[in-house]
Amino acid sequence: MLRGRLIPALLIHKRGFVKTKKFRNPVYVGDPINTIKIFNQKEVDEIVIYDIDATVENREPNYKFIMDIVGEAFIPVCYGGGVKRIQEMERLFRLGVEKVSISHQAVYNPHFVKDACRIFGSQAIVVTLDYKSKIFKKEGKIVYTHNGRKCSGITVLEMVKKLTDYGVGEIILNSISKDGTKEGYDFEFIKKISDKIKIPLVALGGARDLLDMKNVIKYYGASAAAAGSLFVFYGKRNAVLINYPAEEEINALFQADKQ
Amino acid sequence: MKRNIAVIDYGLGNIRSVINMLENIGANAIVALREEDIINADKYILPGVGAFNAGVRNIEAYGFREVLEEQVLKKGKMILGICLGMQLMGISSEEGSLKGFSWLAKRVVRFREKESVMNGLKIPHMGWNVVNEIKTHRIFSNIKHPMRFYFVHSYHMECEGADCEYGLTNYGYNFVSVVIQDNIIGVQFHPEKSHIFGMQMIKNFWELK
Repeated sequence: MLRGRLIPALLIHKRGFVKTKKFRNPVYVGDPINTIKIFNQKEVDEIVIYDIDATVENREPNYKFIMDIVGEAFIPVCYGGGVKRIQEMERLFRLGVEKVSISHQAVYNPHFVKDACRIFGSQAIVVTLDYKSKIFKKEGKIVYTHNGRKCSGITVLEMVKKLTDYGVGEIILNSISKDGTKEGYDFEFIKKISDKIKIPLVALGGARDLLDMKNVIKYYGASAAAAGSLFVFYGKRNAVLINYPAEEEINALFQADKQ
Repeated sequence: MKRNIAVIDYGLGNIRSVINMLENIGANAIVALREEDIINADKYILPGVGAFNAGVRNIEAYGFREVLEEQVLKKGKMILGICLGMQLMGISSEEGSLKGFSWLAKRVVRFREKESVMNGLKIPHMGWNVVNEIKTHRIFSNIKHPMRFYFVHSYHMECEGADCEYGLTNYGYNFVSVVIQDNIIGVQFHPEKSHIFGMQMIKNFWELK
């Protein structure tokens, strides 16, 4: 039977891989090609790559760059960043990207998601929702775009309902306030949303350790657990080190009952 | 002349990943964009990312339907269909209204939601899962067990005990993940994205005679 996926989430910024904290202060973690090669050797379940500059700079994905990365990845790759048109998605799939993640366009033009699903199939369409709570307001968790800078005013719950109606294949919930903190996933919120949808939900933001990843999958309804810091930093001093558990370790972890 | 393998480009496949893997195992791979590319190739990979109707429509718009039928059915050239590429080899799909190649007497159906949800499973079936080889075939040679492959799909071929069923995968219930009928092979998963497992399978296909 299928076990939950553990997914490294990598951020592209100025042609390098970086890791942010609460969407700020990008720290360089490595050359993309080299990083992908290492993850490939470690037989990772899947990889998600976000170009965090594309939407902010209002430009299309950097196809050449993506092609070089994907050429080294004999693993499933999901790309997100700056995708606004069907032709762009077609180009990405042709480069060897398995799934395309839409954020900004999904929030402001949800019909685009519907079209994309009709053309490419739901399984290839992912929506990543970056969210945080608004201070002093009780309106719930709100979706942000433009690298966490632009508030959409739409709640995650509303957005998720609309997207599932439109046939999206998977939703990645990315907590802005947890990003890079290693203080634990936004467990209760993940549970709340996953209880309401039938499609796979991926938790991102805040993963402390592998146990956290297992817990969010086993007890909070996520189909997959994604993490940035955990797979690129190591030890108390957060030294840059690409790491990923071996299959045996993952299986042992998932079979154990310890929470 | 050197043997070659053509990856059929009908506008919807993840051509590049398949080519990348073929090159990695040392196969002589080409991208088939025109009819003559297909006629001149020794064997084929029909990849697939997309919806059933869009797949059928594109195959026809690119003018590949007749030529593939000729090469695969009459000349007996080997073909490996991946994901949607496998589904297109069947008669029809619940995902669309158009007719598949009908090389295999198989229909493609949507995951039975009730059974999946009952077991706490979500659709699409997305992730790594095990393929159980129910009949031996050289396509499975030297692949480490349990054979793990990457799946992303909402539709599948039903398991009915037909002769062409070679590999089954369980997701709430068993469905057909590998079909083989003479020179025609279909896999529901993505070998080109299944690192060591997929690489061995693609190598096996390249070496099949």
